[in-house]
Amino acid sequence: MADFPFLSLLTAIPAIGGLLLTLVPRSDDKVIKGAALVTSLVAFVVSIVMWTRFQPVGAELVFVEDHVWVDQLNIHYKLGIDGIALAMILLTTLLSPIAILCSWNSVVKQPKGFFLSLLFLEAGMIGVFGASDLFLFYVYWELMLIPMALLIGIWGGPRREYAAIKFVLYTMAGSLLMFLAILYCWLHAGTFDVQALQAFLPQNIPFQVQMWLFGAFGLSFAIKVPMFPFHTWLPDAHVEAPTAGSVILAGVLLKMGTYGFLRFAIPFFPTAAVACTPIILMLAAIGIVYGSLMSMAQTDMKKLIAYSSVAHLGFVMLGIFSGTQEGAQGGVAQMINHGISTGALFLLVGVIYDRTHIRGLADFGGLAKTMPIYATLFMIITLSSIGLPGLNGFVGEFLVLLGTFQTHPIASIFAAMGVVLGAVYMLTMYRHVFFGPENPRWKDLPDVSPRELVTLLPLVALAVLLGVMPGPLLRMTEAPVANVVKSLHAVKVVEVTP
Amino acid sequence: MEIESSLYLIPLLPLVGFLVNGLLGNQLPKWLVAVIACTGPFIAFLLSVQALQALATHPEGLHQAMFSWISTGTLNVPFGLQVDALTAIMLMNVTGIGTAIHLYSYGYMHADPSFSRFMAYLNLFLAAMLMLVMGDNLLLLFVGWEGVGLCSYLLIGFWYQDFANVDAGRKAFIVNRIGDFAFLIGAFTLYSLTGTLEWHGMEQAVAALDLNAMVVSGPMTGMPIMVALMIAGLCLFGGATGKSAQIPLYVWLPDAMAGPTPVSALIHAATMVTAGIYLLGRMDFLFVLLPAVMGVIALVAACTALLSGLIAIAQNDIKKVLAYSTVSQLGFMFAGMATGFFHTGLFHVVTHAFFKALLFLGAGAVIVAMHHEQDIRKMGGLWKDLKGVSILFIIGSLALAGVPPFAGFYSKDAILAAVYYQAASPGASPEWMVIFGMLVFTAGLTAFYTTRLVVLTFFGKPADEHRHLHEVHWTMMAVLAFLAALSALAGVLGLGTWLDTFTHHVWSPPAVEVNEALEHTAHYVAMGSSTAVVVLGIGAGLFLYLSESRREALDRWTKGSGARVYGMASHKFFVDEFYEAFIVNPIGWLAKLLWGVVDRIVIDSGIVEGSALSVSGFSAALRHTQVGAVSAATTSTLVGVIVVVLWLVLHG
Repeated sequence: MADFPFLSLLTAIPAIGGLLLTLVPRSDDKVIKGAALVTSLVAFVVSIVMWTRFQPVGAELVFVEDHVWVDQLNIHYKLGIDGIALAMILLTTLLSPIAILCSWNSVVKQPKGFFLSLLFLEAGMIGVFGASDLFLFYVYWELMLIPMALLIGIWGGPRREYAAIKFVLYTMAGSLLMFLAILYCWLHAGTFDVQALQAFLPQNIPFQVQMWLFGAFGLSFAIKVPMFPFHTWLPDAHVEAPTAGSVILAGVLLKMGTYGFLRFAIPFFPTAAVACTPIILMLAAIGIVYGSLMSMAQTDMKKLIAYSSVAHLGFVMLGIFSGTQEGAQGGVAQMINHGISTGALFLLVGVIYDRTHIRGLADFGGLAKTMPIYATLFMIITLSSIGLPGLNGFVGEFLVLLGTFQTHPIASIFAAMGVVLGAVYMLTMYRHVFFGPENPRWKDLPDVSPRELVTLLPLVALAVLLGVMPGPLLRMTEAPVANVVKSLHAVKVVEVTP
Repeated sequence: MEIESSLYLIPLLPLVGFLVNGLLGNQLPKWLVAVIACTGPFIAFLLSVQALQALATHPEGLHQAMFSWISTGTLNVPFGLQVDALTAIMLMNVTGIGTAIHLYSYGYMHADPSFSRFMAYLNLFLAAMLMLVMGDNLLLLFVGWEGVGLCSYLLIGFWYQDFANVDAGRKAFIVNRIGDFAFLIGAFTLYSLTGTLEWHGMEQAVAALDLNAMVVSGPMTGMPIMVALMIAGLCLFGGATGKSAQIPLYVWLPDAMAGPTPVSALIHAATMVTAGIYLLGRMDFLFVLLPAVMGVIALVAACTALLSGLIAIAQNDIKKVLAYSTVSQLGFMFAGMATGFFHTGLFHVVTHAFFKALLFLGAGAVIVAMHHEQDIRKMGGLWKDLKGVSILFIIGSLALAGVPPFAGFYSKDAILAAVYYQAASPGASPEWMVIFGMLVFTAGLTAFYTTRLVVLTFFGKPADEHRHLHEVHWTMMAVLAFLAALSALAGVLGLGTWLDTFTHHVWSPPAVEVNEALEHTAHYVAMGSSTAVVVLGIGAGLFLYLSESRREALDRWTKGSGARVYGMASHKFFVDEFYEAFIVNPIGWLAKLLWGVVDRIVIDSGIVEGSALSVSGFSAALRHTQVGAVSAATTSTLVGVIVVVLWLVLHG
């Protein structure tokens, strides 16, 4: 079964589903939504089947498919995944049907285009994680940008155009640099094959050039993460994006930045990565505290959560660059955990926004009485987000801090302050929205509907499960993460000039 | 049934109660909710008794390995439970008193519309506390540690429609998180020295360290091992100051009085606040190596005891008096632990659990009877109408004041003797004698404010002659009587001696052999001085508060010439205000400043839009146009790409 083209199938399912959607009459709302949901659920089931067949030896790529695409330029259609990519794909296929389901009643304007965009987005995301050819990766990377920009720019809030343009410009600026770096690599190595490049580049590129190339890749990924100080597109994008857009953006898209570091930037240019480690750790630690302080200053629920992502992704970067297995594993776990808890937080804000069309902290109050089930779910996810032991967020944060402490204790101590601040802003948000006297304006709000419950329960269940038993996830990513950590230690400065 | 393979049931049963009542409690009749909530803790208590008995044949302790929790790289944190003599004592306390409090809660809370939610939280609290004392490694302890923090947040803010309660709960959580920050740093430091987080592994690794050497690997390379251990010890103690309410993090505890009364009892007496003492006892192998750290702990403890004792004198809310007295008694416990005679601190944990639970629950009965009035100035003369409650409350007070032969006398005495022993040992630091003096003085203060509390509440003229007292539920009285019996008899029946022998083998032996002659002297000095100050304290309390005229004179003094001195104490020495002005507010301002200036103006408008503007006039596009800007961006990107590709091809 290792030869079965799971990855092609997985990217094809949403793409074909999306194409089929175009045949459905525009007025046939129910069919459009139903078809989109079924498509994404099929992709989810296929990804689960793929997971059961996933038995790699060490960090090798499995489910590899390799076909020549453009012979003259040596571009291949090559796919293949390791444990990290598998975890990210599973997260993608889980969040996609949830994003579709949460938009069930809230999208009135051109639903066909909306669900089409979501499906194409899913195809692009799976492609990004599955690609094992750098050119193919870049194609997916750029393709994915379009549906996301459309989701924000067409179905977004009042300042949607500004937010969409900012999102596109930022990402473009980064991708441009990365594209140049990719071309340089290709010119010197003669291949786009990721594994071949991982073997070739560290040995054959002089340090000075490595620094430039790492800078180009790194900047592109740092914008995507986003790392402080390249983060200001994120709050705007989140605030304007529709709920489904925010869920996917926070849940999956941000991880493409950190994934890029793990898969490309570090293994390609380990010497430069080591040289840049101090500044990256510093920016990550600053990002944790700075993002937390930003969250404390917000009055809009979505903006608060958006800034908290800056802090949480800071933990991921810190862990990856800690140079320890514990820290890097924590970083990867935090990627998944942030996808679950922040994805769920945006869903939860969407629930209340659908009902009231506002989301200011001060506009609510006393909702714990009006919507007890909603309040309970929100509390569990809040606790997951602030890293309560026993829930998923703790495992990642703890491993990151423990690992980083072994190599860079000051960065770890500084970052640990984020643990305190995280409790401050999250509990403050909860206080304003759920506690206090009941606001008479909202006393007739209905509690979560069965549909909303279906979107939320899987994420809540995962938050508990991954907190108590993170073993399967950690084992899945252990070997590929070890490879990345090893490449950070096996550095040697290359003197040759090509 | 072999108890060793059933240890998991002890924390699991209350957890099941939490889940059942939490999910279905609204649909169930109240009596069934109560039965479910009380059954778990009670069976856990029976199992704990079995575990305690099993220790007779398993002196090395019971251990149940379950599964690997977090394992990656060289780190392996198992999920396993253990019971040794120290844990067994904590288990008896937590499940025994815990069950009693659950029972009492039925009487106290059954009329509340959210009764099932309350019982569910109590169950969760107990489950977390049981994890804390049973976990076989530092990280599992931390699960319980943060778990009880969460429950106290939920329970303090139980009546969430009032922001005051919610804010008190939030304060408790956040202040505890500050402690947890220190805790984590301490844990990381220890991990990098020992390579493990398990109790046994750590103990062996610490024992194997050469204390005169330097650290040779890891983040503290080049640092003397002794210094690294001191950092770990101080950080862990920092964590304990949060959970166990010591200077500088005690401020959450008095505010925690916003919660329903059984919560106060559970948080204060049986569970949460003793967690820090437990941590010190559990890590004794570390602390016995660090006399300097022990000195710091003792000094902080003595200052906390004295400060909160002074504040307690000037409080008028019955629960606040008891809260500050708890902070003060915790200081005694820490001082006891810091002497290295760990059983003295543990003994006071146990007796304090008896009498402070009694006092809090007794206060709850008074508050119910008074229709939720908590100001002792508005009580008075309750003796006539509430004879039963009064007698039981007074028994608790005598134990707290340290009157022989009540339980508190024995345990406080043991601590004072241990501190005196330290102070009088040859070559001891003079600091210890100061600590001894502070603690003895605080013992007198304790007797004084306890007397004041009893006199104002139960004696004198009623503040309102026409009050109609509410009846006290029988389950509440039964629990009070049970706790009163323990508070009165535990010391006389030799609990202290039994504890000493029962736990003797779990403690790391002190560095120097115990001098028995000095031990005897210490005992007499402690007993003599504490009895003297207790007599003085009670005498002064009776003298000042029993007579109507002197009380009025005192009132005039506090409002007149004594206003400044009295105001300091009644305003809690303005510690909260200090924190507010110098920590809380500046952080809030910093956040707003960074957001308003750095994020929005410097980064976003300045660098981002500025550089966009300078590159190709995007800024105008950003503000005015829609799709145009995207295509402009795309075009210029592509143009740029092509140019560079050409350049590379030509020059590459």
